[in-house]
Amino acid sequence: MSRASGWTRGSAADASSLAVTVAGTDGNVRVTSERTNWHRPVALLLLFMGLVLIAPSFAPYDLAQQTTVSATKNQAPSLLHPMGTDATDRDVFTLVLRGAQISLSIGLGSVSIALLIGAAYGALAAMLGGWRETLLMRITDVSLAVPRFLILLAVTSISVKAFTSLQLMLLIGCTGWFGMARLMRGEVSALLQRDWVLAAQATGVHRLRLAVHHLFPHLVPMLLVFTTIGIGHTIVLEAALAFLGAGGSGASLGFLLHSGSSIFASTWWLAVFPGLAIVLLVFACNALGDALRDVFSPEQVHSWPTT
Amino acid sequence: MLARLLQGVAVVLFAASITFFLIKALPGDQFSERSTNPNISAETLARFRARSGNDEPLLAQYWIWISSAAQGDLNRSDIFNKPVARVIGQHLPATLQLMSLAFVASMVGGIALGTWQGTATGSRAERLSGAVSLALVSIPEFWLAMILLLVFAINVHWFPTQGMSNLNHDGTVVGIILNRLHHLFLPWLSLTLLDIAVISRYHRAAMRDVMGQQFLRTARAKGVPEHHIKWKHALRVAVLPIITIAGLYFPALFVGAVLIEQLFSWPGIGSVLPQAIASRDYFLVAGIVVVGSAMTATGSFLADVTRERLDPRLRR
Repeated sequence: MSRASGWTRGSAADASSLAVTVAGTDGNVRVTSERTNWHRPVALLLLFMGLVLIAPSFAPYDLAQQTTVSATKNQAPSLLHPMGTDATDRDVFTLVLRGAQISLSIGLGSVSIALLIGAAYGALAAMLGGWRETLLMRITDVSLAVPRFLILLAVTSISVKAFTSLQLMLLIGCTGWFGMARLMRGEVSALLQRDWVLAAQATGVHRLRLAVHHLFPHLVPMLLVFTTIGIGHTIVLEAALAFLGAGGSGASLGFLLHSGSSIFASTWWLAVFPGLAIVLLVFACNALGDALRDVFSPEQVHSWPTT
Repeated sequence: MLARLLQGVAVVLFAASITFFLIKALPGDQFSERSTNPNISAETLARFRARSGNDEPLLAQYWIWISSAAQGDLNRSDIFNKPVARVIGQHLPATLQLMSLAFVASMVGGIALGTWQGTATGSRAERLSGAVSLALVSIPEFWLAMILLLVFAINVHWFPTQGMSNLNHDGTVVGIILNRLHHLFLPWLSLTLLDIAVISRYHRAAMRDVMGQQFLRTARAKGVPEHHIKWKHALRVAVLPIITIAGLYFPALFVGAVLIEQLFSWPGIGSVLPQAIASRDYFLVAGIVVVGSAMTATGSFLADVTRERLDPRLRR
């Protein structure tokens, strides 16, 4: 991963003008404002996530009312049950709404944890400098090389008690911040080279204030991109764990796929709809991450985390 | 180079140690399932525990496990009643077969697609393919595998639903190979389709970077034909970061293969892992983690070596 020099060049424009030039897709040069265009994608993302999070309250059926022996179990999609019913007579649409809520909460929670730890760690390393920076970064390098999914799988599968969603969130978050730390250190140490930092330091600004008031605003775009793409990533990670039967105790979308996977040859709707919901959630995150990245840093599309 | 090798060993050791301690830190052991079995008395369980060394101090257990693991002995698997190393040895070749075919195809496909996308910037076809790539990278591979299985194997019977071979061949070598490929196609396609999208997205970005560079202008000024510039001069430079990505991508491919094998009953590691998870076969799970970490380390080591070979700027 290259040093994020392009981004800092982009934001170098902040003193003189708020505009950066972007080579348009048609080959002409168009001018976009660096700071104004991000509101719409972010608002869309928040709206979408809010909808997913509150959707189960408007679900058409009550999941508590299930019967094991019933004439309405394993029904194909119909007007009454738009996504069919499962083997215990539950409405799959209601299950998918709740599963999406659980998957998204785990994604949001883990990424927030990873963001907090990683950003603090990376910024600390960059601001300390010297051998302490090298040491801190070596630790993240080794941790990044460890196959995280397999270890998460080993842990979640072997615990006798299934993890609650909160525990899973903590587990995924606390093992997912190394990339963030590395990225953050790169960005912060690039920012620290800039003249206005020197100017701020010369006026006697405290280090903490420098970090929060001076450096942080420059990092918001990068953090936003990381968050959106990270959420999508985490949803897939959790779904893969749950699909192998090793997720948390919550009925996330991956768990629905897991429970449908043994009988999906005859009941295709149990496999298709939860999966489509995952794709939709992840696609929303990826597309918004892409859009944000294009708005913020047209010059260096690939030095930030992609899928 | 030696330092790089040592780092790889350190990573594997680190991963193995984390796995061991996390497993031990969690409540329960490989005998907890049996404590609910009325036919097994508490004394028998205690004897089991003593014999397997579960009563020893944690560090002693760790030392025994890690030192024998270093010699290739990963302890015994409970469900197979065989050494873990042998269980893995029996199932790894099938996984590697699937992985290597998917790896080659997604590298070639991804680099070709990415080169085209990176040079045809702005055309309608390029934008469409970019959107398709973005959609594809949002699909979990195991779900794509389910859908392909549902459509092409269960509904229209074009492909077999499971296994690596059946008796539907004439017994000749060609027949056996064709039969294997027929079984391989759907699992391979599920992995490859998505990986092409991932690789092409990285490669497209790298190509776009390179296309703006000075040495290409020089080449154009010398009269080098445009397709030569794209597919020889630029590609040669842009492909270098992809080598690193390829190394990093190896573990993801392993996980993807494991997930997909389960669906297609492909007799690889993926057919063993869910069983090991379901019956809490500690040492088998830990063994698979160790093998996975070793593959990860090998992947990034090979990527570094290759890159150093191909990139004159890294040679000293």
